[in-house]
Amino acid sequence: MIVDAHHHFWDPTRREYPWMGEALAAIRRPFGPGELRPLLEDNGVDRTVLVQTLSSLDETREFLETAAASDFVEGVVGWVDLTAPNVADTLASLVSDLLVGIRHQVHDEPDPNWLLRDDVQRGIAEVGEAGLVYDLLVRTRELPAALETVRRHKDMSFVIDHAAKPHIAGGWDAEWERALAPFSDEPHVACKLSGLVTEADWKSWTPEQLEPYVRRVVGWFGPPRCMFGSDWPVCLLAASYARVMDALQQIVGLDDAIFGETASRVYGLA
Amino acid sequence: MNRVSFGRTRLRVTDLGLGSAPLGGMFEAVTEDEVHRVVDAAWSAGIRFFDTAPLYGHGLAEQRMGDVLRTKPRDDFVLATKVGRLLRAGAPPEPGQAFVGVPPVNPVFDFSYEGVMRSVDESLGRLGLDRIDILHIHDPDDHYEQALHGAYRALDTLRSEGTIAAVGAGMNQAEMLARFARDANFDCFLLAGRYTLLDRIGAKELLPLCVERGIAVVAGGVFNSGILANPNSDTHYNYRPAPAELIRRALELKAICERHGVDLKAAALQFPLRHPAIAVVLTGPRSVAELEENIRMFQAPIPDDLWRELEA
Repeated sequence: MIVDAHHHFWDPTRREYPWMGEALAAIRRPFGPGELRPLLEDNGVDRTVLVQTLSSLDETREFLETAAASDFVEGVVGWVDLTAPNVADTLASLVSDLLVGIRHQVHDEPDPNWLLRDDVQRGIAEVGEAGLVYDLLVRTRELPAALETVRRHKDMSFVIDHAAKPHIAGGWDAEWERALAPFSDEPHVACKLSGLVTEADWKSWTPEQLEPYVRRVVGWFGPPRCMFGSDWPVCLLAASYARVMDALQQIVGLDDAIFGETASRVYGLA
Repeated sequence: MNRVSFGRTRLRVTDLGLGSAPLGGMFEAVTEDEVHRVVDAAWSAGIRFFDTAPLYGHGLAEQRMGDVLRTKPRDDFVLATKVGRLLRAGAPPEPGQAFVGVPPVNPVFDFSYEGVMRSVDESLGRLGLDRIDILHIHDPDDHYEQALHGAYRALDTLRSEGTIAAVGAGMNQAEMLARFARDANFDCFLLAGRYTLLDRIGAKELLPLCVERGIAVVAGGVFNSGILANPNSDTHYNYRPAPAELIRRALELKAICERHGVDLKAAALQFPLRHPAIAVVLTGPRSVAELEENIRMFQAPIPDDLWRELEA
């Protein structure tokens, strides 16, 4: 059972994606289940987790419908406004077995301590109360606030997306290493081995460049707290779906935990 | 110069490649010695991607490039040539014949399965090599069906036998390449002149499709036949004398570049690689001096501010 724990769908002909700037023009086109299905078949991937791309309840509702209609999307990481007073009600209105987590594009907030706002902290607690995972989309700059957050909420699960985006293209990222290592002591936090190819040089990256980063993460978290994610279609800026999977397999082998069990357990996939 | 992967193929290539239409004597003849010196200098500079075609110099470009490449370790470089024209004595000249100082043979379009197999054998003979890495279907603009059912089938066979590593098509238009991307299993394309500072039509449909499918694109004609190298009144655009309106636009681009202290040629050479679909940019010098200048331009630093202005 191979799980892709992180991918997206989008349709720029129907919605505005503020993060889809000039550098991403090459992937500014609709990507949906029809484009992904053959890639999953070619690469032997059985199920997936679809992750929000917008601060939009509409998108999350639509993703839940997409998941319900699909035979491979087994979980959705959606979005709610964590700063709103009625997070519990909103989560209740989304009720679906397919909703497995909540995420906010924290690294796009101007405030590096956005996660520590009182309203956000209350919202995260509500996410945990609802039995959902909270996905941390952060970079090195926001990792201290993320660490404080996971230490305040020990009774729920967190997943760090894209290993907190180390700056692979710029040589060894020692700041990232110092900031992420302390999460190894938090057993309720898992880490996604995803989105790494787009943090390396898009043209000239090699699996060898990713390897030290992957090894650090697997060393800190252990395979039972690591999960593979393709980050498709974003990955297409640097590599095909197959190359992303091959690169990780070349480094860690076809590890059952990393390529399926961790995601199934943490997200409680059906 | 970087070593980069080439789409989903097993090839690794340098992101600057040597094109050989000018070395084949396009518009004016180039001596055999000069061709040898240019290919040698390209090798010394670290270029390991070489593009040629039977058409260029009616066989001379393949033959002369082969003279030098034959002396190099075969696994150290990647070679692309093309199919779709056979060189035949007694054939009438193509309209708009562009090559000067060529042998007494003329190109004859042939996109049939057998024609392509014959073309590959003849290319191997001229190159004096036992292997070609990439074969492009060359200029099938008026022959889509035959290219798909004849030439493509032949190249697909060569690929599945392991004779070649990649199947491509090389054209001056983006629209038909996008059709190929949808209708068959192409590994790469050579897109000439349609993703440049002056003409970005390739980014509309073709390049996003290539990103989606992992098709590597080689950008040729990045100066649009000269206008982006030297925007003046007697320059060429798309192999013809340039229209005044385009010369005006090229001069505007040049002025923007100069405000940032950058040579227009540097921006023109580096621009295509900023798109994730583009794996290689070709430079087509006709002398060692031009090659050396283009390599300098390819490596010149360009501030992000200039890119923002050029890409706005």
